[in-house]
Amino acid sequence: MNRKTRLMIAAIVTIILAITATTVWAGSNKKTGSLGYEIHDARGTCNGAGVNMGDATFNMTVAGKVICTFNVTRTKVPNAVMGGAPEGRVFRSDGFIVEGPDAVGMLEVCFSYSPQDQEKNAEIYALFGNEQAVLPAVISGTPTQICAATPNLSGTFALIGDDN
Amino acid sequence: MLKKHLHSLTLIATLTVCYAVTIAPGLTWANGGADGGDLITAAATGGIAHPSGYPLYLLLARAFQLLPIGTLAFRTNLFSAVCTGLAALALQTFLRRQQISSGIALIAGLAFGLAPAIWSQAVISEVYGLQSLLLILFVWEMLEENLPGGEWMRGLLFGLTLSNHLTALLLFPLLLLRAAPQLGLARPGDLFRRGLGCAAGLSLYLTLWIRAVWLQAPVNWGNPVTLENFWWLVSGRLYASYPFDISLAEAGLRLRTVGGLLLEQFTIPGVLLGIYGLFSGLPRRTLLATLWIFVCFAGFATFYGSYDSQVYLIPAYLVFVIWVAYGIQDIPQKLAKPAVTLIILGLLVRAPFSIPTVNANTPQAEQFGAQYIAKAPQNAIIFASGDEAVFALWYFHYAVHQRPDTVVIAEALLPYGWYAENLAHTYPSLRLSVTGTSRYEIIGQNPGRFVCYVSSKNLNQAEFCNASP
Repeated sequence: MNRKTRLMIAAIVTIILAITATTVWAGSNKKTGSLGYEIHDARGTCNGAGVNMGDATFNMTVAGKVICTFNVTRTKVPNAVMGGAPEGRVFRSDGFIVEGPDAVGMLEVCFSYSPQDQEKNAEIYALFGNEQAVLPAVISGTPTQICAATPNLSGTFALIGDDN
Repeated sequence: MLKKHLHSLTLIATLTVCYAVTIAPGLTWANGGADGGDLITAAATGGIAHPSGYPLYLLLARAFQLLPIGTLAFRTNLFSAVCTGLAALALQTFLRRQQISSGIALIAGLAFGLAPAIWSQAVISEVYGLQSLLLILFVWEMLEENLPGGEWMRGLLFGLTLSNHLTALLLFPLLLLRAAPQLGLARPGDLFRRGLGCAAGLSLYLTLWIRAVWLQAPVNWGNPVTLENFWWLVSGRLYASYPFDISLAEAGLRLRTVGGLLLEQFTIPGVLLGIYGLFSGLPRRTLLATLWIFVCFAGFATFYGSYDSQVYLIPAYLVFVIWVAYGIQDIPQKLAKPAVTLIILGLLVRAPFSIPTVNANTPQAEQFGAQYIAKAPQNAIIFASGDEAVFALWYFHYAVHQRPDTVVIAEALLPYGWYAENLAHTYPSLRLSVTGTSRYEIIGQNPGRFVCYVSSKNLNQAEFCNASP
């Protein structure tokens, strides 16, 4: 290959690079750092698999279709938004405030469930309006999760277990 | 004498001035430097940094930390600047020995040292300055005959490079090649000697075990006292899911950005000459080695799932500069002068504009430390999340010894058993549940303490502690 051809190739490649180049380094879906995957503390991704907050997941269906148009907000002070834990019980997770649409549907709430959570009989508590309630839940999967479903599309949720 | 070394002195003087103007005087988050707090603290306290532990970096950074100038963070930042300057000097010398003219070798050294991506890492506490230095020494050793140490040294440099950063594994195929000038696989005897050298370099990882057993510093990632913990740490298993954890659309976008970043580092004339240089009769071994490094590291950076993986392009930039040097050397005489003038002008004109981009003299991390550590109530437990917040708190709390009454906990590490062991050893008065160490269990076990939260995503929150214990 003579110099002229090489220069031509270099010029063409440089022009293509200059035209197609972008300067923004596309990030991954999950924010990652040296501490590992970060827990979402704002609205997570939906993609038909629910809003993932790291240690809790929220799936909402309206008219049989998965929807993503709802907000989940994490609070590290769950007793402030849940009206405290029942006597003899303590919070074992953050609080999650779910704001769904004014529609008929179903909300499935899942929390990561460790052996320690199991040992402390942790349950999913919900606050709908001023009413605190334990949601009937199913424990399954690997890693283990505890999941409950409710027709209330808005509410506040947390995992609460025994104190001792 | 002075004339003989004029080009080297010019390179060192220019980089010294540029780095001195922009180096961080203290802890900084600039230029993606969130890990600085972790690395500085681990080096200063005899601890272990995040996986893979960075044993060589910790040892050498500690030597710089003993200098009697500036803050602890500044002295560690200085280590990066010295490593990057030496890498540029090694690149210049390597090119001279490859029969590249001294003027072109100087331009190549400057183009490398002043490339924004390289410069940005030279002025903060990070491992990439040392990585560049080790990489160019390894390439030099592999591409030149009759260097001191021979096969053993080739293996040693590979081992040292790998003991600084795991991405050096991408260089392994080069280690199997016969030394210059022939192509082909190395002889078994040579491979054996390289293996011994490599083992010597990798033996630095054993210092992590020694640190964990004897020093038990607060920053003690993985607590590698068992084989399982040791492997978890040095293999980087925490990040095992990062490679290829991006969508195809993102990968495509990143590939386009690689082109943009090359233009950003070397300007249009530089990129043109680099691509030209690639086809300009590089010795076959040099072509093979540099092309391998460029493709592997560009590919790795593209498909690695962390949001800041463009930093892994640094080895690709380094070999691109070698192509630029060969490109300038090869262009027709009548074009050589304008090309060299264009590149020098480009570097000179761009340097002042690069300063705001790479300047690490930013106060946020220092202000953060002053504000949050200082205003935490007595004996408070501070739960931190995100690299910036956690590592900065570690720096101020463990390395600078501010507020020893408080307890600093990295929330993301609570699921790991070794971290619970570290906490128990670091804070004997902290009550930890025998059944687990979730945040709520720690709060429940320590009822008399205020509880504070700080996140990298919300560094400016006015109230960060509970109103009462």
